[in-house]
Amino acid sequence: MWWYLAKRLLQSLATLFVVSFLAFFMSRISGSPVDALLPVDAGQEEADILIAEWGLDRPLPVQYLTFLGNALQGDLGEALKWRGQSALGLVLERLPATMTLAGAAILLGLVIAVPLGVISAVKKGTWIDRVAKVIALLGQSLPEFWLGIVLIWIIAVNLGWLPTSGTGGLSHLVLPAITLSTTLVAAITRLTRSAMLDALDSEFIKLCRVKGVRERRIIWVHALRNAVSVPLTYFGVLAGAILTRTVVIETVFAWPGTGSLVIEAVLGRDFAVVQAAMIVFVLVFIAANLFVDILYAVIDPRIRVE
Amino acid sequence: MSSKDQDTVLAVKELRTHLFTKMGVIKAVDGVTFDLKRGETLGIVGESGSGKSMTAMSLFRLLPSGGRTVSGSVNLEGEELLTKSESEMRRIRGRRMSMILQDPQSSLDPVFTVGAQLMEALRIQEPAPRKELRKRAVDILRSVNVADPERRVDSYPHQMSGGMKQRVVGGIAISGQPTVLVADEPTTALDVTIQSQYMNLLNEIKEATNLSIIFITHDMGIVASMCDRVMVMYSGRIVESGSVREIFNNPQHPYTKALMASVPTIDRKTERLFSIEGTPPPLWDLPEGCRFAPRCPVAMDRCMEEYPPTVSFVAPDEVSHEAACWLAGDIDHE
Repeated sequence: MWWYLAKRLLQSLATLFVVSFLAFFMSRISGSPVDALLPVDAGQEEADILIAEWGLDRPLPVQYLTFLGNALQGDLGEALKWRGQSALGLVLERLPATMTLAGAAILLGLVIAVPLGVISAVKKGTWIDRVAKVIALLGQSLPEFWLGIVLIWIIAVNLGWLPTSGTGGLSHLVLPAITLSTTLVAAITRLTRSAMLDALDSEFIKLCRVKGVRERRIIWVHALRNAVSVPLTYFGVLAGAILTRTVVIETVFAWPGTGSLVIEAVLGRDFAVVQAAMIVFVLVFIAANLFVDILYAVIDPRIRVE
Repeated sequence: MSSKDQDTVLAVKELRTHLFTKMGVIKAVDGVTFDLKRGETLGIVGESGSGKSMTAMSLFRLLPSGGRTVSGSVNLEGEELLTKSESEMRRIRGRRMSMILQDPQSSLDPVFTVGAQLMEALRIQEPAPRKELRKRAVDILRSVNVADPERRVDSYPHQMSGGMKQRVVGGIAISGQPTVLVADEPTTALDVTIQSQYMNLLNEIKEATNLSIIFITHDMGIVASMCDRVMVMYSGRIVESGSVREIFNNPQHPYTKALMASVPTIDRKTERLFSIEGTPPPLWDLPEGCRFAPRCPVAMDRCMEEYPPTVSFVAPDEVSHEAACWLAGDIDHE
């Protein structure tokens, strides 16, 4: 077990290294931050001062090595747009809002998708199954930003049931969480359904019936525990994807999380913040997948490592 | 074989189970009648699709979706099962009537220990504290000859060999001390050595508990070594039944004869094994007359038009011998 964790940690470090490389070079494709930050009437001297101050006159590989060296010491640099603040500090300050939103979306998604998938497998071919199929189809195909705007328009503007945007109590969380959870609901419902159909068709379920086990226990204990590793695998991928999708959703709902910070940073060409956000996102993604792997072993003894 | 007293534990009459599919109605079990005596082992033989397993599942009222028993009677120790509610049936399954499924590799739930699965069965039969259930689970494992049962009770199925899993499945089947045990091709997935060990185990259990066993198989060798009586099924019907000795020595139905001819024997030198020409008719489009007629070497015009009546013979051992063939009785002489 410990050896396995150590191995995973090493793999994660390798991933982080690749990500740092991508984050560094990709954020420089968009152009120079100097143009974005200085007033339109600023002269070349002012620009040169900034360039020298940030070290942008040095060759790119040198800049990258400096960045990497600092990053290894936990310093992801100073924000360019929000002068005087550390990039990592800015990201971490906004992270709880994003995690709350993503967590709510994941929780909501699972609470809907797993039972829906199980029920549509058990009631295969009935109207419940068909409704679930339509829900999954819509969740998969509707663009999230569009769905978010439509929800705001109908539920917040016309009906006035929920606030349109911003943060506050639980009521502010509902619409963005629903919007963010749609893809998860769609994918997990379908995967749970097909995995449950397989599980329910297996010999050990037949044996349970021969033993006289109650149908409810057969479905929710025996079949589901065998089926759940399929949606769980995809859940590891989705958990990360949800984090990146917060970027869009937070903008639509003016949710003050890391996602909207990243948009501001990209528009302001603030590499430091973009890099910091990417690295933090990747860390969360790696943690989510490690958590999923551990869950696997808990659920299925065949995967447990010696 | 075992001591046979004459009381009937299971009486099946005119059982008809149909599968309602898109292709039409499949008459999987089409008027099956038989009795099972206490302590008796009845073999049901026939090729795949002959309705053996569907007959078994009909007894348990555990049919696949689309399957329904449309008529007939299943009487277990004087109680009609076909009119029972689902919760009453659940009380009968596992306790009074139990089953061993085909494949030991897949009939245990991979995510629970074998002990947990045994204890689950025991708890359904009679709720008891965990410690007590566990002790009984260990006892059952010991009784089916699982080595080191105290340790094995905490093993997962994937940590066991195929033979050991089959023993566990057997243990689960007898845990409720059932009156009737149905074994649906329980040895197909096992190698020959394990097979014979397992047969011995089943025989021991049978001797010890006076259990009645229905043995579904297509292995004539197993029938010869395990069963008292045999029923031969073809396309959803019983074509011949009788004592093992009679069926082997004096088969009446051409299908039974063909089955016997396809069993290799040690004293008959053959280049190639005999095989029956053709395939069974599709069950959704059965011929009007005898279902075996299209493949039968001695079929007459009449066989194609009319289903033959069941003819009874008085066999030397006084176990009734019946065959559904127009030629039954005089077929020997042709």
